[in-house]
Amino acid sequence: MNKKIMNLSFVTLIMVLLMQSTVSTASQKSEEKLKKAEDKQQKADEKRPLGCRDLGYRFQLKILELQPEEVGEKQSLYFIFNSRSEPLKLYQMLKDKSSRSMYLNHEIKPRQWAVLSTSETDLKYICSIADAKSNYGKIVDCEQSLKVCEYARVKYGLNNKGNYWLVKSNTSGGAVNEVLHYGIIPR
Amino acid sequence: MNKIIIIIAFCFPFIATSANLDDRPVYYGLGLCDYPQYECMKVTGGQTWEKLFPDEGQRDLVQRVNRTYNNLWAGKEIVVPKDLAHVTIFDLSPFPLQIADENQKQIIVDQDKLAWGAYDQHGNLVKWGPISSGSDRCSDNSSPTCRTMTGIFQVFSKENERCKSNIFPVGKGGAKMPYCMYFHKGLALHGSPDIPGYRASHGCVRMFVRDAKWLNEQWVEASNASNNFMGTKVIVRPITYSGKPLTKAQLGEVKTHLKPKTAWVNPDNNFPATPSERIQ
Repeated sequence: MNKKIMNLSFVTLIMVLLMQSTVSTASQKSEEKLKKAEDKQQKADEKRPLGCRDLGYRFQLKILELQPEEVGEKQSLYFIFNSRSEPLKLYQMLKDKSSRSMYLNHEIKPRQWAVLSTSETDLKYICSIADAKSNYGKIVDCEQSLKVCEYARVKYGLNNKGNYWLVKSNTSGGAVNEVLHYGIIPR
Repeated sequence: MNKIIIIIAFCFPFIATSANLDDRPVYYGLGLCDYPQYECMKVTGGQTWEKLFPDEGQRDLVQRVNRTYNNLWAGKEIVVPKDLAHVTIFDLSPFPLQIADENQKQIIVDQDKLAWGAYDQHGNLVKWGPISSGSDRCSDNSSPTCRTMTGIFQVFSKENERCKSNIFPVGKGGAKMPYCMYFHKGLALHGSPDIPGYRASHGCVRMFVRDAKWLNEQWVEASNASNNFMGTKVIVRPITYSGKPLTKAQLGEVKTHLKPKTAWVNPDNNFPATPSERIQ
C-alpha cells in the first residue's frame, strides 16, 4: 500500500514539474512576444509620420537649424523626435539682440515627438540634457539626439497660424491626431 | 489608529494654513515696495482710487503701476511712485522704450511683468498697460490649467465693445470681452473690469477697458486682404517667474530710469521688472 502511495506521489510530482516548465515556457514566450511587439511599436513610433518630409532643416556644429523658407511657404509644421532615453531640452538661439526676446524653448520627453508650428525664416536650437552641475544642463549633439521632418504645405486656418509648440510630447500617431484635432491639415 | 487620527486632526489646521499661503495671489505692485523710488501705503476704510488720487492722470499711473483698477478695500496695500506729479507713463514702463527695428507693429504681452507694450514699426514704445493673463488653475476646473498659450501670433479678428465669449461661462458663454482682438483660436486681448493684479483669466489676456479700446480702435489691424492676411503681431512671452516676491537682498542693485522728465532716453537703462533682470 505504502509503495503504491509512493509511486502515485512520484508520478504527481513529475506531472507538476512538467506543468510548471510548460507554464514558464509559455510565459517566457508571451513575454518575448510582448517585448517584440513593444520593439515593433517603438520602431513604428520612431518612423517619420506619413507625408512628413526629410527637409527644411540641417545640423551644424551640434546645433539644429530649421529653415522653413526652403520650400517657400509662410507656415510650416516641424515634427521633432527625441531619440534619447532621457528628456531633451531645446534652447532657441537668437541671432542678435532681438526685440522679441521671445524664446520658443521646449522640452521633449524621451522617445517622443513634439510639433512646432512656425513662420520664422531661420530658427536655431541648442540641445541639452539634465546635468546636476548646471541649471542649463549639458549640451549634446542635436544630430545624435533628434529626428526631424517637415510638413511644408500645411493647410492652416486664419485662427491657428503662428509660432508655437503645438504638441508638447506624444507618440507619432498621437502627435498627428493632436495636429488634426487642432484644425490643421498636415500634408 | 486613534493616535494617527488625532495627529492628522492636530496637523490639519497647519496644513490648511500653509496651503492657503501658497494659494494666495501675489500682487505685482507690492514687489516694488523695496525700491527707493516707490512707497507703499495701506488703504483705510472708505478710501477709493478717486479719493486717494483725484487727478485722473496720476490715478491712471498708480493703477498701471499696481496692475489693477479694481475697487480698493481697507487693508489693501498699494505702491505709489514718490515723484508722482512729475513722472510719465514711460518713466514707469516695464518695457524698453526702444527696441530693434522690426519693420512692423507689434504687441508684447509679458506675463512676468503683467503688462502689454505696443511698439511701432520703428521699434518705439507707443503705449503700455497692465494685463491679467491665464491663471495656473482654472477657477471652474474646465481644464487642468488655464495658462495663456505662449508664442508669436497675429490678430486675425477684432470686435467692438459688445464682444462676448462663446465659451465662458462654460456651457452657456456670454462673458463680456469688450474690444476683443483674437490672436489664436479663441484667445484674445480684451478689456475687462476685473484686473486684479495677478494672473486670473481663463486664458485670454485681460486689460484695462480704456487700453483695449485704444488698441482696438487705433492700433491693432486684423488680418485682411489689404495686409496680405498679416494682422498685427502679438508676442506672448512665457512665464518664467514663480510669482513669489523677492527680498531686497535677493533683488540686489536696481537700475532704474525713474527720474523726472526722462522719457524716451537711454533705452538700455530701463526699469527692470523681472527678477532675472533685477538681479544684476
